[in-house]
Amino acid sequence: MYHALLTNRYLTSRVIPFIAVAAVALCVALVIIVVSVMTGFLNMVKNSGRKLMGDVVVSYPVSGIPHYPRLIEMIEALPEADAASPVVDGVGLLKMPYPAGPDKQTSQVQFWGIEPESFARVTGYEETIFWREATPEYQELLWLDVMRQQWRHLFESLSDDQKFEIKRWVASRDRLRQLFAEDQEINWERLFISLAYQTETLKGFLTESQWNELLARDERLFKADRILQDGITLTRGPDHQPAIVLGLHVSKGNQRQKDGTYDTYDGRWWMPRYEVTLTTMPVRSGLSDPESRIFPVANEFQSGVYLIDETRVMIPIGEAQRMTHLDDGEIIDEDDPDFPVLGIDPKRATMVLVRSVEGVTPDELRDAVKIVYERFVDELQEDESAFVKPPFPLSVGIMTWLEQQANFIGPVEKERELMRTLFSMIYIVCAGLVLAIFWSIVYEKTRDIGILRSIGASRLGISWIFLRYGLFVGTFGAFAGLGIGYLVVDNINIIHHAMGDPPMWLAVVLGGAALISLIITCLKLFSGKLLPPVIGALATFVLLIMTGVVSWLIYIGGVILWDPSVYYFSVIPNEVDFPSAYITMIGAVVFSLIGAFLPAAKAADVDPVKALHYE
Amino acid sequence: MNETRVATTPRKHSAPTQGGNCPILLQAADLHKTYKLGQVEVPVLKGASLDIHQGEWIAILGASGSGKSTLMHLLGDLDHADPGKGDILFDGVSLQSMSGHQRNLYRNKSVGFVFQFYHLLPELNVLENTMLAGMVGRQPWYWYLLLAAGIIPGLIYEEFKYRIERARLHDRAASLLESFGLQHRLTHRPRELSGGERQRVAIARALMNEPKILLADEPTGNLDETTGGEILDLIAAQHKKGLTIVMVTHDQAIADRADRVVQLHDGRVQ
Repeated sequence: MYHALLTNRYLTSRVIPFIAVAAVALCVALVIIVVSVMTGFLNMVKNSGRKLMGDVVVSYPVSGIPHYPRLIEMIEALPEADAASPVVDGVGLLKMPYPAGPDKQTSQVQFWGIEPESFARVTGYEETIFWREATPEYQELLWLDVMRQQWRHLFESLSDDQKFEIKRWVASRDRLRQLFAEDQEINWERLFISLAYQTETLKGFLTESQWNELLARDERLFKADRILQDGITLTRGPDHQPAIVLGLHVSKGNQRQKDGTYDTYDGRWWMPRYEVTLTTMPVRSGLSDPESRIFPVANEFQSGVYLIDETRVMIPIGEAQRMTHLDDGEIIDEDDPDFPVLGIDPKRATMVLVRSVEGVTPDELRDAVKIVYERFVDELQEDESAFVKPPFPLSVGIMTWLEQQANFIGPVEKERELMRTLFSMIYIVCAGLVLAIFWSIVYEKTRDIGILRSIGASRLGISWIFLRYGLFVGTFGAFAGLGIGYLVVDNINIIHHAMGDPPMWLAVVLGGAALISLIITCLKLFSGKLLPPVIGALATFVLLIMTGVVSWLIYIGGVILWDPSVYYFSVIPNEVDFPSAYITMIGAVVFSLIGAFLPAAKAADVDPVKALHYE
Repeated sequence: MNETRVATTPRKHSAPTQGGNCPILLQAADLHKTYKLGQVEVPVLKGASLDIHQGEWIAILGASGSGKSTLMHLLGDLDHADPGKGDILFDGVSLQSMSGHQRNLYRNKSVGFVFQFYHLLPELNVLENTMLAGMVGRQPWYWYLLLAAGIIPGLIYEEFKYRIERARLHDRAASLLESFGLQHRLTHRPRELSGGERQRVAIARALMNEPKILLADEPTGNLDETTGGEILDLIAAQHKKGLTIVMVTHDQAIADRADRVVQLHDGRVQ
C-alpha cells in the first residue's frame, strides 16, 4: 500500500508528471476531435440522406412509374411502412430575379415535384423550411412591393377629403416636402412608396375596407408565419398559386455570415418577394420543346447539405408532371385517321419515397417494398383496364437511403478509418513520452528505490510504483483529453465563428496579459536566477504571438476555415463520437502503461547497495 | 581457504548483556564477497564468520574499505555472498533457502536498517517516512498478478486497505516519534530537519515493525559529537529493551559502547 502513498507524492510534488499528463491529454483530445468531426460528418451525410429521402426509395428515372397512387396505397398498407410519397425529379434552368435590368442570371437546378403533405410525412421537409416567419424587416419589403403594385388603385379609391388630409400631413413635415412637384402637386407614387415604411400612419388615412383590401394582397403582411405555411404547401398569394421553394444556396442573394446566420444581399434580394422562371426539357419520349413556368417563391429550405441546398428546388408535383410530360393523357392511335382513344396514359412519378415505422430497419422495409412492388406489377399485368403497365421489378431501383448514397458514404467511411489509423499513431508518442519521462524519474529516484528495497520492498513492488504512476498519468491524461475534446467539439462552431469574427476584447485581454507577463519578467531579471525570467520571457512570447494572431484576424476580418461549398455541410459536426473516444482513452492508458513498463523493469533491477550510494 | 579472522574484545562497560548464553539469532558462516571493478576482482570478505546472539550489541570496527559495510549488507540481505561461498542463518534458517517473498519479509520485519546518510524519502514527511516501513511488504508476489488481472478492483482494494492500515500505522509511528522527541516535527519534510533529527527519524523507521535486529551502518558518522552521542544513547536505550544491535563504525570510542567489538581490517584479521 506504500505504492498509493508514493505515487500520490511523486505525482503531486513535481511538474514533470503534469507535463506528461498534459501531453497525453492533448494527444487524446486531438484524436477525439478529429475522429468526432469525421464521424459527425459521416452521420450528417447519413442523416441528411434519410431526412431528404426517407428510408427506402423506389426509382424509375425519366419515364416514371405509372399507377403510382396504387403502389403508394399498397406500400402504406404494409405494417413496416409509415408513409410513402411520390416525387417527379428532373433538371432545369432557373431564371433568377437578379440582377436589376433585363439580363437575369440563370442557374442549373434539380427540381423535385412533390406532394407537400405526404412528402413532409416521409421526410423532414418541414424542419428544413428556412424562413419560419416574415420578420418586420422583411414585412417592410413586402409592403414596398404591395405599394408599388397598388398605389394607383389606392389613389383612385381615395376620397377628396382623404387626399386633403394626406396633403396637409405631408405639408406639415419638412422632410416630406420633396414629395411635392414644382407645381405644388404631390407625387403620389413616391408618397405611397414612402408610406410602406410607416404603415400605421397609412392606416390612419384609410378606411377599413381600403386597409383590408391592401392587406388582402399579401397575407404575410399581417400574419408573419404565413410564409412557413406557404413553404410547406408550396403555394403563395391570396389565390394559393403554385409556388416554388428554393434551396437556400440556389439564390446568390442569401449570404452566409461569419456567425453562421444569413443575410440578404443588398438588403433587398429576399427571394420570397420574387418570382423565378423554371425551364425544363422533357425527355420522356425523345427531345421535346422546352417547358417554362413562372413560379412565385414561397420560401427557401436548408437541408444542411450544401450540394443539395445549392441545386435543388421544390415545386408541386402536378406542375412537375406537366413540365416533364409525365402527367396523364389519352393514348390515341395515330395510324387511324379518326385518332381513336386507345386508353389512358396515367400520371407518373420517377420516385416513390417510403418511411418506415419505428423499430423497422431500412433493410427490412426495402425487402417488404420489393415484394409489394412485384405484387403491384403482377396485379396490373392482369388488370386489363390498365392500358399502360408498370416497369418490371428488375429495371426499378428499390434501395435504402444508405444504398442510394453508397458511392458517397463508402469513401467517407474509408477516410474516417484512415484518419483514425493515422492519428492513432499518436499513441506511440504517448508511450515514448511516458517512457522518456519515467526513465529520467527512475534515475532520479534510484536512491529511493534502494531505501525501499532495504525496508523490504520487492522488485514487483518497486516496478508497480512506476506502472501505477504510468497508469495514473495515462488515466488522468485520457480523462483530461476527453474533457478538452468534448469542449472543443461541442463548441467547434462557436470557435470557428470566433475565428471568423474575433472579438476585440480578446485581443485586448491577451495584449494586457502579455504586458503584465513582460513586467513580471523584467522584475524577475533581478532575482539572480535564470529560470524565472526565461519562463516569463516564453510566456510573454506566446501571449504576444496569440495577441498578434487575434489582431491579424480582426484586421483581415477573420477567416472561415469551414467553407460549406467545399465540405457539403453548412456547419461543422459538433457531436463527440463517444465509442471512439472511449477506445482512444483506453489506448492512451494502455500505451502509457507500455511506456512505463521499461522504466519499471529497470527500477526493479536496481541493485539496492549501489542505489543507496547513488548520488 | 583464507579465512577472515574475527577478533573479539571483551566489553568494557557493565551494560546488560543478553548475549553469551542467549541463542544465536543471526549467524554468518564463511562469507566470501568479491567485487568486480571492470576486469579486476577485488575480494572484500574472505570467509567471515560471526555469531550474533539475541539481545547482543555488536560493534564491527574497521577502517574504510575493510569490508564492514559489505558484511552489514550481507547480514541485512541487501547483497549476496559469492555463490556457494558462505551463508547467513537467521534463527537457524538459511537466507539462501528463503523465497524472494520471505527474504523481503526478512528485510521488512526482522531487520531494521539505519544508515550514515539517513536515507529518508524527500517527498514524504517525518510521519510518512516512519510509517513507510509498516506499509511495505504486505503483499505476496501473486498479489500483483491479481492486481493485473483486475486492475480497477485491485486499485480500489489497495486504496481501501491503505485507508484502514494507515490509521494503525499512524498511531504506531506517532508514538515512536514522540518517544524520540519528534512529536513537533511530524509533518515536516526531511530537508526541514537537522542531521540528528533525521537520524532519529531513520531509527524510528527502522523500529517501526519491531525488528529483532537493528543494523546500523555508521549511524553517527555524519553527526557532530554531541548529536552522535544522543543517537548512541537512543540506540543504547533500544538495546536495553532487548533489541539485538549490529553497528558498523570506524571509531573505537563508539565501538566501546557495544557489548562486543568485532574488528575487520581489509577483510583480514588484525
